[in-house]
Amino acid sequence: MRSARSWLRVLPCCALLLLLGGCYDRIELNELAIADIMAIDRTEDGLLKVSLQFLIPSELTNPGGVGSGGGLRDPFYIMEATGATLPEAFSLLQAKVPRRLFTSHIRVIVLGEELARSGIGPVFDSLTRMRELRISADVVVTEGEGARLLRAAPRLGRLPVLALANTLGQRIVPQREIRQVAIALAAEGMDPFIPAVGLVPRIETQLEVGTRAQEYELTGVGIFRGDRLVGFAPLDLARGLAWLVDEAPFAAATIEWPPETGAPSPQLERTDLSPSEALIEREAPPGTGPGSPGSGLKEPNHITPLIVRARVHFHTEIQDGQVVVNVHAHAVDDIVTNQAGLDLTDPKVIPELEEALADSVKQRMQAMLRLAQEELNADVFGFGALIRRNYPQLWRTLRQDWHDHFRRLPVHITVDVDVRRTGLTGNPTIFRPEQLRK
Amino acid sequence: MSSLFRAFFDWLRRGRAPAQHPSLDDRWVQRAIQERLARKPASLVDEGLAGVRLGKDLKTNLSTLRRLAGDAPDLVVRHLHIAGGPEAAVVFFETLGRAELVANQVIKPLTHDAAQAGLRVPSSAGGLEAWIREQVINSARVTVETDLREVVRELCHGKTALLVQGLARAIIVELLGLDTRNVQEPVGEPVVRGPRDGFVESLQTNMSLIRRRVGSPLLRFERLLLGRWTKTPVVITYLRGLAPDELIEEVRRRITAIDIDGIIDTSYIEEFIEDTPYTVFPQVLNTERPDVVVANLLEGRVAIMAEGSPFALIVPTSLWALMNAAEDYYQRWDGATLVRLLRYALVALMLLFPSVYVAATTFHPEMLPSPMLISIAAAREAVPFSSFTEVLLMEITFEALREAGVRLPRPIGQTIGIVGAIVIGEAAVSAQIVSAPVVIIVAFTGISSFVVPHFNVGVAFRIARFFILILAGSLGLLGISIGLMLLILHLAALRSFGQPYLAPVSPLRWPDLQDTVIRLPRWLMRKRPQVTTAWVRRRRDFPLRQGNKTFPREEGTARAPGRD
Amino acid sequence: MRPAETKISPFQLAMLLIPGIGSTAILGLPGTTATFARQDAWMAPLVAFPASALVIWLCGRLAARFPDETFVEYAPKVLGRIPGKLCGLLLFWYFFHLDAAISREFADFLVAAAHPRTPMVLAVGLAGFAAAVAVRHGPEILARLGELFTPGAVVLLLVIVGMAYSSTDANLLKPVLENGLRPVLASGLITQAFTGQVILLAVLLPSVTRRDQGVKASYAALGVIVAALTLVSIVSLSVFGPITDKFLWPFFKVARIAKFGQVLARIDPLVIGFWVGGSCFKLAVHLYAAVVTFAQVFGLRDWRPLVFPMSALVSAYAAGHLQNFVEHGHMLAYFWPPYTQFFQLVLPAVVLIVAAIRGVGVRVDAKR
Repeated sequence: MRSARSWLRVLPCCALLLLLGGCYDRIELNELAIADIMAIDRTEDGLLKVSLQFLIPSELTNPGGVGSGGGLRDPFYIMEATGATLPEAFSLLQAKVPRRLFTSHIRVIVLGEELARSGIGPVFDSLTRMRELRISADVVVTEGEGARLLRAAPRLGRLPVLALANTLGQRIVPQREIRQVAIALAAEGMDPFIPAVGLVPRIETQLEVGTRAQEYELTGVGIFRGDRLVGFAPLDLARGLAWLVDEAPFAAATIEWPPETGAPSPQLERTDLSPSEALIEREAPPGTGPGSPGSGLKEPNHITPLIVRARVHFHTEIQDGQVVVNVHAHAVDDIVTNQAGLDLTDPKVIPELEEALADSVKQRMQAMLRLAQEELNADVFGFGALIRRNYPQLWRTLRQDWHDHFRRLPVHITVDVDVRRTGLTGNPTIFRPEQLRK
Repeated sequence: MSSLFRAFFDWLRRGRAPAQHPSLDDRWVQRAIQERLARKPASLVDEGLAGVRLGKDLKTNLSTLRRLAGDAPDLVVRHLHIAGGPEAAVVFFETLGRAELVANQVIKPLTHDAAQAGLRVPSSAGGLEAWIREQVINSARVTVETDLREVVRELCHGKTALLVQGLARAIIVELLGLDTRNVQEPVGEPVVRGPRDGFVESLQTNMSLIRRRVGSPLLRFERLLLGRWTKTPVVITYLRGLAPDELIEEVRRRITAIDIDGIIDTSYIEEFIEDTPYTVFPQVLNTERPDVVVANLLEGRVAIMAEGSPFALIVPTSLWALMNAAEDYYQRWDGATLVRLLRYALVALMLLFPSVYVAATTFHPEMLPSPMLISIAAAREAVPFSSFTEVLLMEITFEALREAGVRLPRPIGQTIGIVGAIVIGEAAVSAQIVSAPVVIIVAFTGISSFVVPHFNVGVAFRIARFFILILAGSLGLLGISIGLMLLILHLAALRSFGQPYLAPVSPLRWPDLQDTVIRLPRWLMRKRPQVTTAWVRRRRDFPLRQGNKTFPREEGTARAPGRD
Repeated sequence: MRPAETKISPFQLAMLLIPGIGSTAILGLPGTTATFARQDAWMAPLVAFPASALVIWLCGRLAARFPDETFVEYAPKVLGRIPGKLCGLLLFWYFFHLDAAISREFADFLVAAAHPRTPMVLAVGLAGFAAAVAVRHGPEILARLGELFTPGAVVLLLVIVGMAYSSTDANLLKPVLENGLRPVLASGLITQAFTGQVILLAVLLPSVTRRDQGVKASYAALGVIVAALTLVSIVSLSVFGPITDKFLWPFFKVARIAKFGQVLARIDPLVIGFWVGGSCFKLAVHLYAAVVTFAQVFGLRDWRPLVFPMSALVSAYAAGHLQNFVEHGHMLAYFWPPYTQFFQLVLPAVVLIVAAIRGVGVRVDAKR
């Protein structure tokens, strides 16, 4: 009887609820404007310009509608609005969009350079507070205007957001989510960094001639001091950064053979250039022209390893009353190119090679360290937090003017490289045995 | 103001029995049974048939008999002289007995054989009766009645009566051989491996199917007549010593309390003996399979069968037992366990899939992965209904198709399936009245609902699915959670003959988990479930592990209480 | 045939206590404790453990002195009729107030996390209704519900922890005890306000089949709750580090970022679902306690007719007595801990001490 009565009570309530149902929080999918990328820029009068890229589902599933070629329409469109805060811009944007803004599926948030330079802190309050936004969305910065990135129509992937998110996911530079940036902003002794993305023209096919289509490209890392962008590290240095935050890239890093002891590698000399110059330089680094197999013996040539596994450990110690950070990296490499004709079947060669490889990694890291410590003075590696963890007492004395201390912080880097495999071949196929370097 | 409070508290005080905890007496079914027992007439005496004793005069007896039988046209009265001597009459319903059997087994021995053998007919009435019963009649079951009303009752159950001039008693001869359906594989519960005989409409046959499988004399059949008009024989079956006495007594009590015009099928009984009548969940297991009945008897449960019904009822049962198929016990335990897991997963999916879809698309689009959201949004772009309406419409359509498919003759039923699938699904999608994901969901839940081995449990879950769907459509995830909680609460509160419906999972009984969502190998199922009386818990001894100790005695009652 | 289970088994008691106490604390607690103890907040539950164990011990001792009686029934025997009844009334008020707070926290979370436009009254009322339906079935059915719910919740918790593992950074837990023990103790007090809810035993113990086993099961349940809270705190802190205290429900945020490859992600709705269930359950357990204490204080024969009115009162109080969430959070952090300690620790301690001095009740064997 008891349960009978409770059921009899439940049923009319359900009926009532059904009537109520239309009221609260209920919205059909075809009443939503689903946004997938958001760009935030700062206007000249200090307001926020928010651009949202919205998906058009019907264009997406229409088989012909994919991509941008052939006079078909894009499966997305872009709207923007300007307001003092993020939610205000959203509500202004809502006035221009016929469906309810839906921001839960934003996967990438692009911060324009102007905004980044003037400070991202206020924006991050909104980003962590707003209910719909996912705290695991990726954040990127770009040189110049952020909204520009929304207009690209990359060829691979149905949507720009997928191309962008996948580009970030290649582990060339460390990815950064809202959460991680927010932690870096809040933590003591840590400055945030955010991967930088730019656009690069696509090689036009015959069908595409004149479309001036663009693709996404990782250009490096934006370095922040506090919540302000202070500079960009180009891609090579960004790799050094990846090592220094223990997110070593799955990337190839070419070295010269035989190594010129002591001299920094050609790429790394250019850290003093501005990031854009470094970028341009990077496109045609000297000494990478293909050496002819026969002449490979005479001139220094290149060996390219592929990093398979890498792990970086951080230690601190006090030397002469001063904190010293010891960074120890350990990597496992595969050799993927041996243009130098090194005899890789000779066990004695491998330690030499390992040393050379370690040296190149070390130089890369040191270059990044120089950039961060001396030029930008931003502790993106979180060495301050490291010291705080290990010497809480000492940290209290350093906390006040940490950036000054950081500039002079001695960092010792040691690198260990193990070459495990040599690709699919032992010795280079293009050399005769007597041509090999011993 | 204070008087108001006092009145309120007085009202509360008066409210109920002082019971702090709910007990079974408090339950609806117990009160109902009490009421029924109180209301029911002391004996099931039908008006006009009250005790009519047989006289010595054959003619009077016969005319009374005819009158009591309502001058039935199919009542055959065959007059004869026993071995050319005393006058007698053989009475039977030609629609219930077989005329040639009566002729061969009763009439021929009485007249022809007795006369031919030149046997001496005893002159005294008592001697005559004994002589007929012991030497003449060719039937195994012969009884004697002194009450005409009982004679009529026996006639109505297909027996043959012999009335003799000068004898105030009727000799009742039972001649089997009514036409029944052959024992076949049960349609509702087929197995790939395992016994293939199923119950038929004859109680006699059904009892024999059980008796054949149980050699122990402790197998008990208790016969009752139920139904004011049908007088249907109903049998309670159990293994004495395994089934707890209280359980047997409770079954007996609930069944005797039934006062109804007729029992056409055991389902009539089921509705009367359930603990909670107001629920969609069946609390009694029904089966067409004698092997299932026997397996349950061996676990100390009680079965109920009725004449004219090929379904036996088994009490007490649990949700887990209702989710099991007979097949599970005949296939290897590992495979059976996986199949069961699949079954539970599909039932959970069936219960929740449509609701989650509705909640996700109308309340929580952030729940969906981006690619899926895009696909669904694209599919829904031109659909005029809300997704709740859409799902509800399609679910109802599916139920309609299913019902139509069951009712229609088989060849047409298949057509309905095809028409339903193609026309309603395909056309509705291409006309953009319904989105494709909804069709997929409805079809999937439809299929899933048929993995439940017992049809009535499947129906229960389907109804529960609508309940949750409505809550999901009005309150989203909150509705689903609340709905599920109320559903589980309801299930946890249900009982089957006092046994918690979700036992042994809740309340937890570790050893009994052997046969729920999983099925352990038979050699690990050492103990009987807790329904059995506590001191006969062990199923058997294990010669392999325990050495060749005494084989467990068959008679559970004879065991010392200390031995497990 | 009568069922034996009109009382609950010790195991069932544990299954009643774990979701009946832990469910609301899981999501919100790390956020509150982290405001004081920052990266050391994970120690708060461990600090609270002995205090809560003391509550269990007090209840166990009292139950040993007065077998088969609830706090409300033995308090008058110990303190005299009027003070005893008053103590019972205080305990009722505690359960009532706590129930309203649970309801409020449930609704706040639901509205903030899943249903922003739904009026809170609806959420509060619905949960109150579900809880009342559950309570009407009595403690035994509640316990059975707990038996079904708890394992699922524990598995979900572990799954989330496993899925969030890749986002954790143990370095965020360091330095340990940067600001000494004081902040940890302060956050321990906040935790104790939650774990000290084992005072439920004052009402539940008489319903348990074997009392001494029941007390042991309660310790085990407390252990499970403390372990779960510690785990949740560790995970939240190592995922969010210095911003943990900025979130109102850090573990919900953890569930939002938790993912396993590309396939298994976005399990936060499951968390919401379980949280709704858990909160309703907790609401029901405390509603039962409130209703039973009330009925016993006023000497009513049956508590059942009180369930729905009491549930309505709780819902009304929950929806009406606080202005906004900030106030609620402030209350949880500053007012609530000392306030609850009066009921959870002081009240039973006073009764036990007086009973021991006056020698009321069954004499307890000192060896046991």
